[in-house]
Amino acid sequence: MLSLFLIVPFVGSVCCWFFGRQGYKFARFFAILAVMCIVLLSILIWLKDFYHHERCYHIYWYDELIIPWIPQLGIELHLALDGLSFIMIALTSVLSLIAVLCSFYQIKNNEGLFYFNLLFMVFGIMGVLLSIDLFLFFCFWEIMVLPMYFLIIFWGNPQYTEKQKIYTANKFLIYTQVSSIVMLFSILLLSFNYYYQTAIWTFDYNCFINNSIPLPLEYIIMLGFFIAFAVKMPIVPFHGWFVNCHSQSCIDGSFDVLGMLIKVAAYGLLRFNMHLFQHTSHNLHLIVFFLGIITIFYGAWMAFCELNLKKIIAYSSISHMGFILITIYCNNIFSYYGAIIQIIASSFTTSALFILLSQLYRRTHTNIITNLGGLYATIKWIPGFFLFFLFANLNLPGTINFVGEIMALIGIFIQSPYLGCILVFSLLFSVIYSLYITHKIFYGPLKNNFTMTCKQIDFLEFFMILFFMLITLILGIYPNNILQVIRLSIT
Amino acid sequence: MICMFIPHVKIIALMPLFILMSSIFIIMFSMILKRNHVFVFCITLCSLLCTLVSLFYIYYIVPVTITSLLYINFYSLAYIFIVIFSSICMISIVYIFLENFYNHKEEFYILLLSSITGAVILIEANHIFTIFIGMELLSLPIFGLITYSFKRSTSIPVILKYVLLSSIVTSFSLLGITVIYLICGTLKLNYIKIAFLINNIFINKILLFGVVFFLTSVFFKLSLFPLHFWITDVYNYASPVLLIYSVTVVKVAVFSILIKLFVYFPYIQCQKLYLFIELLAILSIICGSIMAAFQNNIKTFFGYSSIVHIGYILTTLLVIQDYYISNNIAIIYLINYTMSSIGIFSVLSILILRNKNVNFDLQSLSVYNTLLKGKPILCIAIIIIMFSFLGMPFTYGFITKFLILSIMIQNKFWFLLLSVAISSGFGIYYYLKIILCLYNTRNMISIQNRTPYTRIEIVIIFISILIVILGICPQLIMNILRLNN
Repeated sequence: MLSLFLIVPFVGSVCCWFFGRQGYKFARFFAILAVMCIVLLSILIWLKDFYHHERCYHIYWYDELIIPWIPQLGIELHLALDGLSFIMIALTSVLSLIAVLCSFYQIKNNEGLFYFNLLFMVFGIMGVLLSIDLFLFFCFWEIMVLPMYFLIIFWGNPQYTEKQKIYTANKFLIYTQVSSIVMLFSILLLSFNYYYQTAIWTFDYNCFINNSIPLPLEYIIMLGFFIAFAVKMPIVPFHGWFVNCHSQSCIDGSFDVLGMLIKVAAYGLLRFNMHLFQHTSHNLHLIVFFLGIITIFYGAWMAFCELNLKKIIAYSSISHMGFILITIYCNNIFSYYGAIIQIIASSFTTSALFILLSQLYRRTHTNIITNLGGLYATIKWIPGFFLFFLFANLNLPGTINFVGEIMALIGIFIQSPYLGCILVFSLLFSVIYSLYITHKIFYGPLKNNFTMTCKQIDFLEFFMILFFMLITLILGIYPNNILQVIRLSIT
Repeated sequence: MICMFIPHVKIIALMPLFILMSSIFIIMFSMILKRNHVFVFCITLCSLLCTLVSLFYIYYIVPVTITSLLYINFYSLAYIFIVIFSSICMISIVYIFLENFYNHKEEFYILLLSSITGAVILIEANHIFTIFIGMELLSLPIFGLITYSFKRSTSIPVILKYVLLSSIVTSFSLLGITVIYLICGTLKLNYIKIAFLINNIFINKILLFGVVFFLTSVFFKLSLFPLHFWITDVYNYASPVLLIYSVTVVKVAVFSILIKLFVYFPYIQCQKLYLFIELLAILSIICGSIMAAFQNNIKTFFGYSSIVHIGYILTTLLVIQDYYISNNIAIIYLINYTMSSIGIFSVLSILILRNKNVNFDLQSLSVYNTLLKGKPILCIAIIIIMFSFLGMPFTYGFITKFLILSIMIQNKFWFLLLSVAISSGFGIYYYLKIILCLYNTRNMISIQNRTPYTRIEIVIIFISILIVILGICPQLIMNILRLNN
């Protein structure tokens, strides 16, 4: 069952490549088929394992798959599923479905290859989320970023020149490559440490979790993992690649998969840093809080300064990631709930905002705030939705963001009340930039005449946004379904 | 049963040398009677294949000592196997190459075979005398082979430069040999170790001096960091077919002798030497990757990237105390290195066959695109080979990189690890620069000659399939190597 999560996107991507040569319709068909299969699979898994929550096969895992791979080094093809990874997988599958649907709006050159890259990235992300063997985890971690490189360069935003896109993509790849090699060092150190203690070669998470590491070594290993995740997240000293990557990527909203790429880092922190290196994570939590606060305020302020709408959303997402980082490192039961729900919430709202932005772009052909204005009068639906998701971004009660925010703040308050007080202020800044955007874009006099002639929202666009909105509202009003799945993963 | 036919075990062990030498004589005599390219090609191919088969036969009798000059063990067989395999791949490309352009076709094979003989001697050597002979026999024919380039006029000064440099370096190594002889009184390798162990610190310093001077020529052949300046010229003008040879066969053979020599240098007495090697490896990795990042010519680019790879392999020398592990990992790495190099340079040779114009730079690399137009499988094959160079997961390159890193971490070479991190940043930049050219549809160069050259393409696809198979199940090679520990 678990292997299907890997096989389906892989086969789908290869099919897209080969049949994409016959025509773009084939490629689209296979892409949508593969993604639908993944969504169905995750629904099936939910019904099977989590709906009747008394079923439990293993202490940690609901479902496991072990195939020996390189026995000399104790490396196994070990996939496993628990509540946390199930939530991330479900999120990925929904987002990739939307990504494929979004990319229908543009006929590109070499469309088969485009879907190949997209699905291959989904394959990599699924691999990262499912693999429990650290060697395998690293393999997927490396594979995951490569398609992004090609997506930026070949199907990026046509506003930018080829050279700029290559520069951005190179920056992205060099950041991730160097950080991931540091993580590889850490994985090796972890394995060697286990070998010296037990004389068994293994890369299995289950073995490491009960293993004691000498404290100085644990610091080094933990930092290796932390840097790799912090670069992906991105936390402020390592965020150089992030904003340009967002603004220069595809215009048609299929970029919400990048959002998924980022959330995987948060997953890594929850899975590895908090469980494998409990002592050092606890010892260093003040530094992490500091980094998180810098990230939050930096993101919020930069969003306020920026004129490009896409960059604003990217900065606000940086700010969110800072909040998630702090929540993760609070390390109590509320913050655990809060972190996961915030990951879900922020990826929904951010991708919905990006989709809306791409819809706006298709009508106005600009992303700069100063060129826009008074759109409320000309375009139906989109401004309303935009407003809704901006408010969701501000954690409006009734949305899932609010649930996450409350949980996280309770968790943070338990850990250190002062920090909670500081973080409440971050909300203020996000309110300011959100209101600024809405005021500039949608109200006031109409700036450009061409917006008068633009076409209205069509069914598919409307459906996608409605879908996001419904999910946000339903989960916001009735969050118990998710909370239950998370609760199962804690035991 | 089998031993009844064969008089002496040592004769069997010398079979590869006999086969190669006799094929040289056969080619010479046939050329006296009549020049026939196909015949000569067949003889060469047959001799190489026979050598390959004879290795499986020798496998049952190793380790063998043949007088005090030669010593064959399992690892020598593995190195010879790599050498012969890459020569066979090269020969199959060379045939098309020579068929199209040259008058003196048969001489190429003679030079090549004598160079391969040198490589085999070098790999089997157990005496500084044999090492010297092997090294010279390996490199002297290359002077002749460089002339098989399209631009005769430019290649003469390049050859002169290379000949001068390598003769200077050879004289260095002769000086080193005399110093070693002065101290040890013999040139057998194991006497060096004894000399190191029994003498006092002062004499050891002199011996170390001799050893370093002797190693200079080895480093020159490997084109390690301070001795790499000849690469730019030679690689630029030599034909890609020759580059397959000089990047794979020469380096594998020379490295095998390096790893054999280091067994005889005890760690405690030669700490400075080991430190020197570590420094050399760090500098080669960092400088090689930096220089490769700024190359505009694809052939010198691969020259520099080969420096980086040799830098990685040098790490295995530092853990030579664990003889089996270091040899195993060196062989695993070299297999990847040879396969990827063969793949890449065969792509280049297709390009040059099409273009007939040797000097093209990276800016005009969109020729790749014309090459790969309508050939998705070849395109995938090339990307796989590149990824293997880069060490991406699920290719063989990742396993090798992983093993090298595990050595470094096990022995706590922190500076080497740092340099690996730096070079991986550069590496992904410059390899992906080339992969981008595969896709780029703009500024296509039209090449009139659209002959398919299916044979070379088959070699490339075969190599890429091998890389993926070994990347997914590396235990195939590991099992073979482990059985012999």
